Amino acid sequence: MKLKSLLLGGAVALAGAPAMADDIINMATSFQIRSMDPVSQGFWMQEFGQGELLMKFQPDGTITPWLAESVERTDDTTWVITIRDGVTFQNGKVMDVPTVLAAIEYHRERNSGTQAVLPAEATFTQTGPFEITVDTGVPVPEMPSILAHESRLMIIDVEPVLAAGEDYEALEGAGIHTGPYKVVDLNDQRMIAERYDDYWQGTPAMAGVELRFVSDVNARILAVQNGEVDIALYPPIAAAPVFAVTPNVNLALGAPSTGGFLSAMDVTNGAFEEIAVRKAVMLAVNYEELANDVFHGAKIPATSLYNPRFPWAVENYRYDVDEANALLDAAGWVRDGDTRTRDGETLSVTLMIYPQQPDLVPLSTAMQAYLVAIGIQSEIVSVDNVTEATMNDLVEWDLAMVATGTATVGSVSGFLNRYVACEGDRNYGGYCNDRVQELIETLDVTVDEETRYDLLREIQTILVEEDPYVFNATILIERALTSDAWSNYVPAVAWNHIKYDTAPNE
Amino acid sequence: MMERGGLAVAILLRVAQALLTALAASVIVWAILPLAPGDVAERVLLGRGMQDITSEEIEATREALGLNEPLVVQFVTWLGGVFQGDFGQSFTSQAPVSQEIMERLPATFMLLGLALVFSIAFSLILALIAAAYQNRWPDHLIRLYTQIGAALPTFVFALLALTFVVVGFQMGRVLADPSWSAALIPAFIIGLDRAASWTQLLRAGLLEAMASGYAEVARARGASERRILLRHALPNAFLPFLTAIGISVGALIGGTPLIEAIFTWPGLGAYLLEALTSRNYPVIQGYVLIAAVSYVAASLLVDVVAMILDPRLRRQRS
Amino acid sequence: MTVLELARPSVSTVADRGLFNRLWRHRSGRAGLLLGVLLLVFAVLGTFWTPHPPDLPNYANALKPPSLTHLFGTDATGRDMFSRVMDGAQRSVGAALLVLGAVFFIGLCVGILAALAGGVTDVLLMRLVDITMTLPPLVLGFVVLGLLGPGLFNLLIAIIIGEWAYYARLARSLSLDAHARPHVIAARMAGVPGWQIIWGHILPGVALQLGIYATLQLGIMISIISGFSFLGLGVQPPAAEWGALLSESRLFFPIAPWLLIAPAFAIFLSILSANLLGNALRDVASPREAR
Repeated sequence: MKLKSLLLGGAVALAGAPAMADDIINMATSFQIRSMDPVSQGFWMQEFGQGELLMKFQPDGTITPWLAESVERTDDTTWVITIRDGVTFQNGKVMDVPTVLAAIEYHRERNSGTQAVLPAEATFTQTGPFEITVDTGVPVPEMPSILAHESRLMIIDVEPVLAAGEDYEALEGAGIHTGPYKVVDLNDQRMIAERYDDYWQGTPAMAGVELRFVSDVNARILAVQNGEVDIALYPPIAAAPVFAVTPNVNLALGAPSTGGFLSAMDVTNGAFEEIAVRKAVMLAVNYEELANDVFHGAKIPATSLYNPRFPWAVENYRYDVDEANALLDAAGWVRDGDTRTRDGETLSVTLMIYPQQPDLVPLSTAMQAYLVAIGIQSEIVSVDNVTEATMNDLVEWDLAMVATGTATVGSVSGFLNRYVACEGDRNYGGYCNDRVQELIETLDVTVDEETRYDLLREIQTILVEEDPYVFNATILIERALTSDAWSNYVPAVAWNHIKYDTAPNE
Repeated sequence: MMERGGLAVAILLRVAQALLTALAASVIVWAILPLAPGDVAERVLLGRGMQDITSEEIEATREALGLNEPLVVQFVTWLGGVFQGDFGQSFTSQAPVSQEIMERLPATFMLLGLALVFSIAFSLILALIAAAYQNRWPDHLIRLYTQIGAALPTFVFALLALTFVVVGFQMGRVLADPSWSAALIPAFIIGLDRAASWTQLLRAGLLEAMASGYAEVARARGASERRILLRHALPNAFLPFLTAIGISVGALIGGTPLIEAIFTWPGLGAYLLEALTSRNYPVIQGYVLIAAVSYVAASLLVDVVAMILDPRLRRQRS
Repeated sequence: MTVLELARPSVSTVADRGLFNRLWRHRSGRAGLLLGVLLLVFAVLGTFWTPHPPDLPNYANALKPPSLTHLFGTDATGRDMFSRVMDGAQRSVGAALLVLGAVFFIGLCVGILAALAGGVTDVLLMRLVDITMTLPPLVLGFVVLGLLGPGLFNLLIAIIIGEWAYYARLARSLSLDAHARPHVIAARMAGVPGWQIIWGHILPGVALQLGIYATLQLGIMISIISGFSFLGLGVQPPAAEWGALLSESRLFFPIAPWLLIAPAFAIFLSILSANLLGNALRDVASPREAR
């Protein structure tokens, strides 16, 4: 195996760089698809045209059927899913109800995200040639969102997956997905996918996809400029003035996102154990300046935990440095120039970011200035993966900044259950507020819209006025960097970057 | 007959010394894992995507990985694995580290190899010119170059060259597939910077040799300056030059992560940087081992070549 | 000459006006001195005063070209680049001097100890030196940073761990040489106590030679610190450091090339002055090896 790769590497090396084909999509992303493991890495497959879901989230906020023909709610605890006829997996196998059920079971057994949103007592049964009836036991009002989320229930052909066991490499080329482009090769530099001719929606526009993992932001931009890459994801918005004058580089902006740059505070140890400090920090952030100046208007000022266009959003974020200072003074933190001390201790925090989101650098720099303005010292630490770093205690941190949606694919419960609930698997800071927990659990099973909105409003109020934990620093607009030939590319919502009809300008 | 036997013995002794040195280095490399913060077993399980890890599972993994054995036993087991080419599994990708290293090694080898060739070529040519035209304008120009080159760190020089020249004139590729042709421009840039101090050294050695008694005698006998330079000065100055190169190769190896970061070159150096941010210790170990072994091998090669060229070096010195 | 006269230590050449004068008269020594002093003043000044605050963003003023108020322009967050370079000097140059001092001191102590104690101590210490030196330079630094995490302090520790060994070996061989010199033998014969021999006879010479080597390495230390900080493994934002400034400025090169040139130029000047000084020092302090 090693000898083979060495020889292969040598042969490729001697042959020189292959010529770039005109009919494939060349895309660059800052993240790395680590393996073909459907549980921990499977969600990537929805993003680049490999895998598909039963429902799809649209830019206008609605959720429409995708691999499903229709999804109906017949009563509070019953849903009927009708799957599409004529869909095949990339390995030729027909997508029918048994294979869909097998995929659902696979995720329910292994995927903690799925387990967090689907009650254990829910049952999925075949009730017709193309029909699945879901009895959820307790109401699951967000079922369409669950079916539309890339990390929950991707429809895969489970048989080869089970056969492969932990040999994930065997899944390259195994065609376990239904999408327009089939993975044929994956290594730590790139993923290559080929057109699947029998794709159910029609012939995919391009012959294939080459996705390169380029963590260096300069290289990503240069690659677009140089014509080596058509579309680069996660461009640094702070460099927008540079894109304006760089040839062959265009900043494409899409729909407002359901997410933003979220800040999560470590409430179990350090400066943020104190509620006064948390409130003060939220008041010290100049949300307007962040969106309009730091990010040149390419972001939306955060006024709420949710994108303000959602009807349940409570716009209770405020920028008030005087009030922040007063809170800290009252808590006994004595101000002396740029620092505050109390009983010999200096008030300081550690901000945690990660390099794959280049905008986090100017964001954290701005945060540091806002913190200094109220007398809090800070330093910045960068990790490769925030979840890994926090759950494994790899570094000391106080404020983690992550790009995540609070209403991803229209679902509020997903975020709340994972990030805010006491036992959430992404509850980085160890937050546990009994009332918020109660509200989340009630929300999970409440169907009536108005009641849901009231519950959400109360949660938002507590998270600002009483017991802060997470807050948006700024709200994102979907964005991508493209070459001139691809300047009409519309940045995706719900990370669906490559669709079957994604193609260069006419 | 006696001389050849002497050479063989000297080489053998030198190789044995190199092996011992490599062994010593391996101790340091292995020590990384026990010294690292965090629980190795837990990292491995997390890397496999497991959630809600119980302490029983951690304990079971510790047993399976042999982490409960005494340290010496762990070292020996690890070393045994290394000899079989097993460097453990990457924490992030679960793939064997040795496999990932083998995939990345050709790229680094190409870049460093070409850079070395360029450096040696540049410094030879420039030093010879400078010595031949001593104190005239080519010499002044070359000495200016060596002063500037020595004052600019390689990575700064590479950064400026890349930004102003390569991107400015749209030469070369940013996301290069590692190949000899793609390595040309980066290697050229690296070579140009490294050659600065080597040129200085060789030039000094050449001038010293040109002023020696032997050279005077040759001049008296009517030999041309050029002949003296090439036939006498160069061979004499070459040995110290070679030794300096050997040491400098170490600096090249050590500076690989920085160089590869600037050129976005997907080699071992870039691999190490990723491993550092994700605390991927098996990968860090693998890299350090490869670096150490290459360094030992490079010094060995230099010493052996020197021994072949100069019989006086064959006697063992303490 | 009596034995006692022989036993008197040779005139110490460490830090005396004669040395300074010789440096001044040396062609590149003068340039190195002038440049070095200028940079030192610049760096020291930067620790407590800069024309504009080096850390405070001012978005309305972002990416302005060089002008009279902003000699090197402003960066993407509106901070004055000249002030940042000035503020960064203490971290790029000051830290290098600190590290150099540390490895010099450690190397000197270990080397002299090994040479004079001999026996098991010598063997053990030298084995430790050998083991440390099996790794290429910087690699040990990467390992230590991998274990400790990034940060300026950790970087300094990493470099010290990685670089002390060669100094120790050099100090040891210099000590052994000095030990065999006539005036030392004479002193021992004259019954001068061991401590005094080390302090008066061996230490000055070894320290001088080691010091010359150290000054020649200053440029490399500056290079290492800025290199690691460029990679994000050394100084952490928003602290200014020349290598980190290079990294910050890359993105904006098409519209603000001065942001990249300023820190590069600063690095160049400091290493140049260190090299000039180091070469001159070597020339004047050991005339036998002058070219």
